[in-house]
Amino acid sequence: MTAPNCPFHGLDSLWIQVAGLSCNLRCAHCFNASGPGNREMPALSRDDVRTLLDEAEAAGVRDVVFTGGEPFLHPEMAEIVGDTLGRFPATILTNGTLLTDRIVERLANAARDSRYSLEIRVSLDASSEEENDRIRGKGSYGKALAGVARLEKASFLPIVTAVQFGEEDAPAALEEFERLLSAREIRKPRVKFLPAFRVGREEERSGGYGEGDRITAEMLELLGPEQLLCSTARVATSRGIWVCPILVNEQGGRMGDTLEESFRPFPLSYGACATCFRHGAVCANAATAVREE
Amino acid sequence: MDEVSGRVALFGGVYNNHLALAALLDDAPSRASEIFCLGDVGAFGPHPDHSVEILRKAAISIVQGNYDRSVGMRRGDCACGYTDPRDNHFAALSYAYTFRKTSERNKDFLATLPDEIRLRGPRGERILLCHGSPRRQNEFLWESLSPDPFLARLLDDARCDVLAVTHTGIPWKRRLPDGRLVINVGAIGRPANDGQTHVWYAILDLSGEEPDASFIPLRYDHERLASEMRAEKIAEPFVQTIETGWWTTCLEVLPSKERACGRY
Repeated sequence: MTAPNCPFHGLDSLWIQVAGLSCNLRCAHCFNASGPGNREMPALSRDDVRTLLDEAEAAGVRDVVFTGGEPFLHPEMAEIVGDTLGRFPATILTNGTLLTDRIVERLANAARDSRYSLEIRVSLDASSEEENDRIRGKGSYGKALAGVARLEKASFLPIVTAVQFGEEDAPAALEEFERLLSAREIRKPRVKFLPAFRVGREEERSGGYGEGDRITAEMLELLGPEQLLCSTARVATSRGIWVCPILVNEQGGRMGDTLEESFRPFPLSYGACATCFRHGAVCANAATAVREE
Repeated sequence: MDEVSGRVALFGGVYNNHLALAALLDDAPSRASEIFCLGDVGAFGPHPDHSVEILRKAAISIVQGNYDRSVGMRRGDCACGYTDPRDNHFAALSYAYTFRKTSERNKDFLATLPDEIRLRGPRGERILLCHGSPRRQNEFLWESLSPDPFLARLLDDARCDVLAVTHTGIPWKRRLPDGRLVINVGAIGRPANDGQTHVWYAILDLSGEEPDASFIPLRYDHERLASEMRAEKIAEPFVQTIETGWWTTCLEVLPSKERACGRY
């Protein structure tokens, strides 16, 4: 079976793997197997990011998303965010455990000086400490919630993101999270659920995808490719440009050395593509996600 | 393609607010020579046929919004582009009401509206009126999520010099470094999440050296609208927005900068 191609409609979102695959946590479900000591993709320098922003500007980018690994392991993350917010809206995906008062204050200054939004997403995978720390590591719950509270105090409206593994009762889970955040005086709790991708460390846990977990040409024709991240986004890493943040460990996900080279259709031949297709664009901000009829 | 000059009134997001619509048709002719609607006649407010009939009677040119297309094509939801379950819950309530209360004749009318209207300014400016964005009827163009290079790309692709949209409900304008102009005209159907009960529309001014836009606050009898909504048993959060000027629903779609300005 030939995989259908996802067309490329133009660069709306540039993802930047700013700290490579280095992370201070080793979450059981991490789709790109980030963790302490993972050196497979070194961090990008501040100059590297500036060059990427220039290329993205030429492409008419809409927003920039920082991911990793853990972006705040990058020693110049606050400066990089400032460089970006001078030109584009930005989103940071973080585990929240490294958000000190000092870094939050610097982010708040950058956000205040910009006409563009800075969204900060903090990962928390359960509303109970025991369940969260079983997945994300001991002590991560308390540190992440402390980070959320610091962001709230600095007038950010952090979005708590949680990975859902199965057919959980989403409205009930949403209520649990909102109760937890309200109890911590988060005034406008924002929660978003993300699908689990059976790649990276999650593949070891769940057994990965089978041959049947693929997007077919008929599926793509029925719903259209617009909800797929790969139709409007690319991921920049120190090892080149990749099609999406989920496939950075797949050699087939590499699209070239430069952004321009990467602006071409992508064959949807991975199991993770089917998860993305079923659940909508990965991590798209509610505000920027669009849905065709 | 129609040529326009002087001042042009642009409004969108009627959301069944027939009282604001009537107020606009009283106010705008003294400020502008022509009036255009950028779509979404239906949504939160009462008596959807009232608004459609007012627009038909006044022979206003209307761009089709996502709501208009869904109602006109007899689709199952408003296609507003929400991704949050709570947003979708409230969107479904207002859509079901509007769909049930719009006559078949008016549904047929909404189905015939064009996706876009193109105008020519006095110096040959290419003016594009659409609902969400030139590329998607339900794309949100928020001020804080629309950097200049992105807007320039949209204008390049759509081959226009002035772009006017609505869909988000909050007005803003941006002059690009090359002089081209983007206007989000806001909505006349509900306040702009600023704690004020008035609503907004825009005047595109083509009389100066280059096109410019200003925003006009529009007062209407919001208390009467609220009582009509209650009489129609429309969900109370929608009524509170009309009474207080603060959005109570469709909030998850707001970027952090815009949401931080609101109460909820």
